[in-house]
Amino acid sequence: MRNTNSDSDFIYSEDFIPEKEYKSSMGKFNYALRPAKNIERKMLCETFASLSCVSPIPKYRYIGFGSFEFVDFRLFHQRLGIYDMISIEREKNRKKQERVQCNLPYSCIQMEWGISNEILPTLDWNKRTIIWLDYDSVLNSEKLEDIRLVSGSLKSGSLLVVTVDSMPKNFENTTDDIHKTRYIELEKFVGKKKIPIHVKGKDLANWGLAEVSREIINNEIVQSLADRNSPLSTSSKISYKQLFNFHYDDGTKMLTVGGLFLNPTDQKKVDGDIFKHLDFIRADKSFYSIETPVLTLRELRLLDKCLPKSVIDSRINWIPKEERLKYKKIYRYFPNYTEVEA
Amino acid sequence: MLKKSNDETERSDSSDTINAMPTKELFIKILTRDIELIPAIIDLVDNCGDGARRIRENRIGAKPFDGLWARLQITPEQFCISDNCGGMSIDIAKKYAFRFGRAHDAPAIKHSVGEFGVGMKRAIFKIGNQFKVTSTTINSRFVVEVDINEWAKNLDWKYDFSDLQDETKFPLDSVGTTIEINKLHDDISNSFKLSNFFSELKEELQMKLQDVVSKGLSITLNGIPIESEPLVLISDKRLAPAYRELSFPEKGKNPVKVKLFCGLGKSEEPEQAGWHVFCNGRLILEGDKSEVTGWGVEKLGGIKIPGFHNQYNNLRGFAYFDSDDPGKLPWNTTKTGLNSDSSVYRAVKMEMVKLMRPVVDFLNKLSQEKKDAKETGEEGQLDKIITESKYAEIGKISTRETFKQPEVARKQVALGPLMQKIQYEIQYKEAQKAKSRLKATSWKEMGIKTFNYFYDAEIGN
Repeated sequence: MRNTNSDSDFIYSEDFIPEKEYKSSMGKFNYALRPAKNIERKMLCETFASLSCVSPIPKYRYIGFGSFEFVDFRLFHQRLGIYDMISIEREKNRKKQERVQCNLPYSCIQMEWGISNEILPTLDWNKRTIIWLDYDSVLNSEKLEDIRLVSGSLKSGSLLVVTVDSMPKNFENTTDDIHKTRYIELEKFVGKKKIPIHVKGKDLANWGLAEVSREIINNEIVQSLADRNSPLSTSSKISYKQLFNFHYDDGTKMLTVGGLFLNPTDQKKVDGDIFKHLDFIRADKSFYSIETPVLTLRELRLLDKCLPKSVIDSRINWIPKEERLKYKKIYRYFPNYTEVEA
Repeated sequence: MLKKSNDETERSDSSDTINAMPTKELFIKILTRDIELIPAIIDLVDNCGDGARRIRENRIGAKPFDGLWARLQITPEQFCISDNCGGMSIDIAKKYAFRFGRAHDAPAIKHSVGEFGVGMKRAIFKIGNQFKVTSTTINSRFVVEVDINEWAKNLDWKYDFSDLQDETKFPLDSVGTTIEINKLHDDISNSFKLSNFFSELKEELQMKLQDVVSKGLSITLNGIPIESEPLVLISDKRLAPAYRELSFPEKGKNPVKVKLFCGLGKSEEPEQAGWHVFCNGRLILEGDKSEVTGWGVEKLGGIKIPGFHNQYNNLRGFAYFDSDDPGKLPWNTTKTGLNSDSSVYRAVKMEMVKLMRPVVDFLNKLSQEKKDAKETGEEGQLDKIITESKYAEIGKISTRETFKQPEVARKQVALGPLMQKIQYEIQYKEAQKAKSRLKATSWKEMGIKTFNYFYDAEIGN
């Protein structure tokens, strides 16, 4: 149901999908229990709010893949007051489409039915936009085409965020060298001409695929802007300023990368680093890892009382230090999970 | 009339002649438009390969260029290529290397790739405004340093040596040529800022220069080695490629020798489908799917090949043209395409089409088989042979005169009553319940059981 280009990755609820697919993807797509994703969404939201120095946020448009939960749409409408919203949804089945339609939380969300590759070129790009290409499968040529198209279209002051699965595959039944197999797999997905020349198969293990995926996405954006800028005068040239490089693992390794598109006039508005107060902002290959602590509700309350000062306190020393420190980093974004009837 | 010291001016002023002298602009700004940046860079590396061919002409074995290297160091500020492939003698530099166009008396390198006498100059002009060529042989060394804008102002068609040492011994490890280009053009410098540019260049070097790399020339791009990727075909004997050897002229000096292979490769590499054409080992066309290699051409020599379609993703054709006299090969000056007017190429194209036709027929049959398999749910026999086949390098595969379709036992079509296929959609939850109640293990079985249930109850025997 998510808008991706591969065929096998939409999963939400039991009565939605054939039994087999559901079982095989259960671990991967348990959306309700994805705390890191939840934290990431709030961090993005807080960053978007800072864009008010470029232009009032309600004047922005948001484009996302709302699926049928529209979690991001709800958050950005409530917190940022964005009302021009487009959700791209690839679901073709009429019944499922009906369900999506029935779950639309606000009347200001416009549905675009189709795959992002087809829909993105048909949209009007004359408005400042925040677009989150929140894929849930690995980077491939179609996604790079989306990124290229969006980078070539975004108006200055706009923001692009891309999320991809970055879990290195383990291959069963292969006698070949795992590093080599992973490299060939990456070649197959993104094409030989997109892999940076220094990358080797062994660089793709663990968080390596996420790092390489970031580099490939970044190169695609830079290349697209180079093509776009070449005939333009200096005052109209658009530059890209990376803000996000999140790594997180809610059962599978995910990468979120993104940033701002700015002409020199808008560039001046964000100079002096308007994002200085946000410690998760990353402008280069160094990444911010969203790590979620394992804590009881009682522990959360106790820690909250100590924060933001310090989590080193004799009264709470019985809580593992590692968990306390993890919590300190993300407590403002930490989800409040309670059982409610939605 | 004032006395003019320059030839060109004198000629142009003369009353009964017409000035046909080429302008420097032609070379600096016009010819450079006909070549893209990457092919221009590959032209420079080709020169290193030719150097290797010259100094290792008599060496035999699998890796005759062992120990030789060509290094590309590219930044947005400077382009530099250096090699240890023998160096240029002062005589060559004076008479040929810096002239535009190959002189008729230029010494030939057997089986070389450089042919037209434009590659190096055109590449330099394409990339930047200032260059420095340093070349050392075992007994000479020279440096030429030129600011192209300054040179362009001058009517003289000469460069000066900025250093020249003849008949001096130089150690073997200092032998070689280095070309440094500075004051890069803005668009070129911008390309050199893009990581994607380097990925593409690496890939192109890997493809285009696989011959020299496989022979042992070590090429590096900003320190990253370029590896040769051997070309592979299905090695199963039942699907062995067709192979043909031709020679033009059949007997005589410096013939163009042609080797053609046409067979099957991996369908998951569609960019590799079609024809690969090599001239003296240098890849000129990669995975060509156009009329140039016979696709979609109305009856060539009585044979018609359809236009390319993805059902032909398995088709691989390899055409190798080799000659000691590179002038006879059917390439264009940028080595990015063929001179399809070449009489040699026209004759070979007929043969290529002949070799291709049975492979196309086979792939049509395979495509039909796949369609049938979708209906019946059974794996096709041809598809099975392909998926189980191993791949091997060309040259290590046994070949045959023509590609023949493997004999597969024709499936007996069961004679029986006329059947009707039914397809419909129902709600998943309900289907799931029915399936479980019927203890059906598949949706197909559930469908048959529900139908039988109705038929028995309402219609009976």
